[in-house]
Amino acid sequence: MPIGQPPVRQAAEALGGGGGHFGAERGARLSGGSAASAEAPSAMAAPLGTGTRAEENGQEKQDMQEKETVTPERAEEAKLKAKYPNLGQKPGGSDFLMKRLQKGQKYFDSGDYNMAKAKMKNKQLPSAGPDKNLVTGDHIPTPQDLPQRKSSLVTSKLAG
Amino acid sequence: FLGAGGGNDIQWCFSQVKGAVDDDVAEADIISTVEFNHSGELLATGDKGGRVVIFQQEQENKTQSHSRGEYNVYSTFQSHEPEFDYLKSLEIEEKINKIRWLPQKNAAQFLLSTNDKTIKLWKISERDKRPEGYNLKEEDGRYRDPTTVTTLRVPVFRPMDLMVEASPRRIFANAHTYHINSISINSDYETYLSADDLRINLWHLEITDRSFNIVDIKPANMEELTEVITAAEFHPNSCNTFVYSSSKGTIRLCDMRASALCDRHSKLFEEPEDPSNRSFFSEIISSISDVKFSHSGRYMMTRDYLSVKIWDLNMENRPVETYQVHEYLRSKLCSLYENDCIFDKFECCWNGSDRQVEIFSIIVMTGSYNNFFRMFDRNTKRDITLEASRENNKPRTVLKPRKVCASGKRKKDEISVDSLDFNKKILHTAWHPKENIIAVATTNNLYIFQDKMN
Repeated sequence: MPIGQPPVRQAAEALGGGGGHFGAERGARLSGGSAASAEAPSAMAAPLGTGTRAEENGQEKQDMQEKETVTPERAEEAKLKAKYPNLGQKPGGSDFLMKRLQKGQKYFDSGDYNMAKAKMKNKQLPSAGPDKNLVTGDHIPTPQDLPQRKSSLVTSKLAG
Repeated sequence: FLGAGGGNDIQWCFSQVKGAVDDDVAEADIISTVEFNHSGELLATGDKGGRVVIFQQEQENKTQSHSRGEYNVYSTFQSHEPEFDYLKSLEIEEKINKIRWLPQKNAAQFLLSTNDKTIKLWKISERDKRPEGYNLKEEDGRYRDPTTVTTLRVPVFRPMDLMVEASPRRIFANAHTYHINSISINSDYETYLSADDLRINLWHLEITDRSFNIVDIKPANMEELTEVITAAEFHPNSCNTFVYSSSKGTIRLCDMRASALCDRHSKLFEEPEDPSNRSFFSEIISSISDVKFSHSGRYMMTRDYLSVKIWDLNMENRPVETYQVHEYLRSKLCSLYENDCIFDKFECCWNGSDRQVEIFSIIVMTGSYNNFFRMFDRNTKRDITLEASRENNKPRTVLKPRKVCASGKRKKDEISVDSLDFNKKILHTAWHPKENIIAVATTNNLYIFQDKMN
């Protein structure tokens, strides 16, 4: 078989139900942003008699009170959702996997770079954000943004 | 704890540490793989800079009966260089992901080393004599004028200082679109597999220009991608059987006799999950980072973020044993997600097995944070936490067990979860195949521990 040639396959047979179902399930649980995660603690709160549901800024305090009834993992999830409300709109799996598969991707197109330079003569070129691993979106990579690669000609310190 | 008494408990002592002392670690010095060869005489490390360092155990000194031979540098070479794939605009790291030794067949040693894209077969050979006494050449290599030769002599081999040479004998390239995470040599010693995120290829050690694709989980539509391959290994005895693990916490066992393309598994190992416990983190922490068969091949061990699981190949629906490595991290998942530690890939290993005496795979070892590493004894169900630190480097002094205080009042000598250094991670450990000697890699140092003799 030639190298790297996958067989023709039917996506439906392999993943069909799985993919769609997975997406819907995730969406249902995490959609509605913080509201969904806020539901769980307050439902738990009722038996403890803590009264009305706390406001967003009191959420963390409530989480700590409910640590006995909410699993630590769920408490951590609530913390994360509170910090990043937009997280998890897409299935959690795919985002990480995509990022993982794209590791190492660096883009530099001299044509783009020169055109952008010409267009933005008077403006400052937007430079790459802290995360250099993402596919270039709205910034134009410059040679300075690409980390230098050079092979190590130095002997390993384990051997010295 | 192991070592807390009892006839068969191992008492671990510091033996050696390799690497620089300074805290400022260069990227290239980060150790990325550690592997003993089949006899245990050689110990190889790979690093992020693409270099391989091989240590050799000294022959046992009869007068120093209280310690086994020390490991000293035997050979070091640059295995992989950084590359840039201009067509795909892709940087190819030189980091050595895995090293696997071939069993020794002749005087030379052979190992496979791989980075993200290319596997190389290296031959490591010794040269301890050189020919001298040529008629037409001087000792420094200059040619002699033939007219000045008046007598003839027979060149002979004379001893010289040992020189260890490493040369690449095979380069297995261009077969992986995604990043290679595993290589595994078949028990037939002729073939091996290489696995990337979505595909597994079968190679013959002699043939570099082609390989067979045996697993392909790439969906036709990448939007439907839900899981990737995280590790793969051949069965130690059945040359037709291999397993691969996934980012969703499943392990598939495949039989190459069933079909050429092993997309359909023969067995699927998966522990059912309690849906009420599911959280955003569930899938991430269930991702398996390593899978290792036991020496007999009856069991396999998997490592996910928080635990080590032992599976009986005859039972697919749940592991037979689960050991918690650092359960106290479950209440820190939010921070561990933010600092990316939740994606750390810890490896695991079995204790050595002396083939002459039937010793079952009974102890498993894996790393954790704060330069701690853990061992679990399957028979006694006891576990121990040890630390790889230069502060403990008094030879023949038994290592003191460590304890992490999860919550509540911290006892003396315990360390609280919040004090753990998450930059000090032990991802790679290896156990000598025959003796109680272990190699533990911190970020840039290699520690060797032995059990206390006498």
